[in-house]
Amino acid sequence: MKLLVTLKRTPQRDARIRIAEGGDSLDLDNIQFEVNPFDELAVEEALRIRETLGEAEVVVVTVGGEESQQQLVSAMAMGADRAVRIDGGGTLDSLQIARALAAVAAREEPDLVLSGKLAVDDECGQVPAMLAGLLGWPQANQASSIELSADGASVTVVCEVDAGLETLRLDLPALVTADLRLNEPRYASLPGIMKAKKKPVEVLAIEELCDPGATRSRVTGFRALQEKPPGAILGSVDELAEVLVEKKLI
Amino acid sequence: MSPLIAAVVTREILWNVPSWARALMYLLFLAALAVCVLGIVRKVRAWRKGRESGVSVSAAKALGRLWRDAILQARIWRSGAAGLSHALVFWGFVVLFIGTCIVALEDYGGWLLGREHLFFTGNFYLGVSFALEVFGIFFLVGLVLALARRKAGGGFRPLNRRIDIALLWLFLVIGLSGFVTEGLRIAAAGGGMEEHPYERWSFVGWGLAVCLRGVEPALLELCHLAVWLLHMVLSMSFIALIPYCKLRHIFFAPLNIALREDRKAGRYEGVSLEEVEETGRYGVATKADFTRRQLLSFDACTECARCQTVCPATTTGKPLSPMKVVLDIAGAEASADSLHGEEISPDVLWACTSCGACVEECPVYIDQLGAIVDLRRHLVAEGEIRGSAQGALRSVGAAGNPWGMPREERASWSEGLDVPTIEEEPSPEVLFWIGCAGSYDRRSRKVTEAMVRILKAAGVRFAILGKSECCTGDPARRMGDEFTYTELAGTNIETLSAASFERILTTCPHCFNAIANEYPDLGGDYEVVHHSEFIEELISTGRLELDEVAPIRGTLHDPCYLARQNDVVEAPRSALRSAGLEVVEPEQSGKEGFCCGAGGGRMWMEEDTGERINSERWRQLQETEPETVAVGCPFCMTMMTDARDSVDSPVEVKDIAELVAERLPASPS
Ligand code: SF4
Ligand code: SF4
Repeated sequence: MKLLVTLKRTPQRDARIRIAEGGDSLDLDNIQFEVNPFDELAVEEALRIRETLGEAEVVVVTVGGEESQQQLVSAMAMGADRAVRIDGGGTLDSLQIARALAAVAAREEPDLVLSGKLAVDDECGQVPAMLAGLLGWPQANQASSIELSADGASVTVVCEVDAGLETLRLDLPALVTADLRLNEPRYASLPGIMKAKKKPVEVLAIEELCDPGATRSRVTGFRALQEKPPGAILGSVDELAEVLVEKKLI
Repeated sequence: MSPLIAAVVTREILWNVPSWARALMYLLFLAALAVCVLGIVRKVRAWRKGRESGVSVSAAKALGRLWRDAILQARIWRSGAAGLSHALVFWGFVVLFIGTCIVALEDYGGWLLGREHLFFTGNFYLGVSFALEVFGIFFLVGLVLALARRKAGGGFRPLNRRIDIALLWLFLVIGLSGFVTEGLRIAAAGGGMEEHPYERWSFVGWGLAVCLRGVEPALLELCHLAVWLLHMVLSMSFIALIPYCKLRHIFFAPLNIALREDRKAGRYEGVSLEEVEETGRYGVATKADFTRRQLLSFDACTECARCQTVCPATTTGKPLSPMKVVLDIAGAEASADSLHGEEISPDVLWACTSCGACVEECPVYIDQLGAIVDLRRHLVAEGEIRGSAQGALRSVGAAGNPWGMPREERASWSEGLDVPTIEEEPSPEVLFWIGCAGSYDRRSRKVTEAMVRILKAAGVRFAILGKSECCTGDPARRMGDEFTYTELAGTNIETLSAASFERILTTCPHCFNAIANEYPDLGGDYEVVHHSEFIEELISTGRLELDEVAPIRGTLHDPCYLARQNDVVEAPRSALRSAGLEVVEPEQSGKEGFCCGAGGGRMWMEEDTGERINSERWRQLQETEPETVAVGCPFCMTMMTDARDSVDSPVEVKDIAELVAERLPASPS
């Protein structure tokens, strides 16, 4: 069985991001990056499936520059077997990325593609759906549990939807996106990192793989949320009532 | 003629023992010896499968340790009645053993040299006989005490399994049958007691013989042989048993005491990253991943349960017992199978607060904490650290603090306080190391600010590193992540070595321990003081003056990483007294203090089994009926404050620095 996990390099989850001067980009100097936390859940799930099966190959793939090599190593430090990096700049839009990933999926022929439900940086969440669409595969989103059938021909996925839980059965090959409650990812440790450095990473130019098409959506600007005025602690209920009246809130 | 000078004053060795019984004795002895040696050889073989580890103890040092911790039983005494009972049994046993050797020497020596007597005569005979009676009594009294303690329960909760009781009875019967054999011999041998009045020196045997006056000599002889046989067979079984039960500590405990490494519990054994790169091995998965010295130490365990009695995890119902970890490792086969599993589970290993109480308590110097950390390292290697603890590890690596707060905000606390950075005050008297909690945690920032007020009041030239300070790596190291620790420590050592200052001052015992005890292993040698010591110094040298106030009743919760791991016990007390606190000691204090529950990375883990450690400690502290609970560590501060809030108590929790700063004279303005 082969499992393909897509991942994205995103700023470290605690990082405080500022908008660069001019407002058309982000100031990412001194910011640490990591594997998008939802993609990390997908990697963990792939590893668990491999552990239950005893044998399976876990391949991770990303679209990005040289710098995203680091995140591939992190995933391999967790235990992924090998990695593919599609060399591409930051101006690619979701559909172009999905096309590139679809080309890799066509070459690798995985039984299951796992992705995070969205990336925590832009929170678009479009790529997995587009990828499934391009491949013509069934998809299940926001999974909180994934179970492979005994014959390995389908997966049963519990999805977290607004109203509750929805259980789907997908015939393989298929695509599933991971939500927060799917698992608790393992730690990419020192010996893991050392081993990971010896694992193969294939780098492919996007043009080699496919025709990504034209960029149809681009970021035109950033604006920070307005800072909230600080709260105040008032001495009494009367005071509170006064303030509320004053602010015409009651 | 006085019997004391008679040359014939002696006894017939193996009197009344027919040759078949002697033959049986020799046969059994050889068999017992063989079984015993085989057991030892198997243990030694198992140790040799471990990683090589040098022994760097001088002979003089080893002998000194044996004198203190084996002969004088120094550590054993700490546990009251248990200490007394073991010391009596031990000394009794040693002297009885020497007595047996003397008798054997006399017998075989005499036979070899063709002489009837060698040296076991006259005053020597009488002296030895007397000593054997005295120590024989010690032996029996110690055993009875041990049995009584096990019946009564309480104390340090010794193990009370069948085997523990059976071994005590075995010794008791061996000891008693020895005395009875002697009594019967004195009553019946060589024409009876009247012929050997000097046997009075064997006063227990003599007393027994007096009771037997008038009994038929033939019956006495028969009984003597029977009891002698019992005594002999049981003694031989004891010899055979030694390596196969906790009695093995008779051999291995002295060995471990003599050869142990001299290392503070807070200073962990490092890991060579090159070696990890080469072998791919990190931490302990199988028994053979321990060093030979460690494997030897586990076999020295006496199963005394002292460690688990003081362990905050065991006592609050967590699945961890340091003794059980040691025994599980010692009992495992030296095969390639992983030690990790149901017995030594992640829950067991993550329950440890790294408080070091077990290490401090163990009478035979086993390093339980070191073993737990080695096993944790394997969990980290397997990625088996999840949830909030993993989050803290990642944040420590990425943001330089376990809460993932931005680096740029590390010195935000100092805004408006006029605190110089090392760039502004290039050669200060003290470099004030703030630590992550002191920098970011709201409550601990108050402590940092109080310390700044004290430094200013005393006119100390100080500076902070500001944004270039980062986590010491302590949480990573305690959690078993050497990689992150080494990286952080390396960064800090670089920063510190580029600066010039006399001493480092810190309000965090964890930072203190890492910088003072562990950085030297990575090439960073600095003099470090904890703020309690520094304040005490400022007061005693007259640099800091405090207002006199009416004393209030308070107690001190000793931080494990200060008192136990680093022997700083008196300074905080004396600083508190200067600050007007009447310090009432809780039952467990100083080096025997009870952990707050936050160490070893526990600060960032859920505590969902058993009682909460901090609540248990809070309960202990409340027995002193304090108005204030003083702490000297940001983690203790969090844990004690939480425990207080969970019971809605009005008692204050304050750091030593805050209590001192409150007594600073009002500024003249
Ligand atoms: S270090 Fe403390 S918590 Fe850990 S096993 Fe020893 S006594 Fe228990
Ligand atoms: S490890 Fe030490 S303290 Fe614990 S049971 Fe064994 S000998 Fe006793």
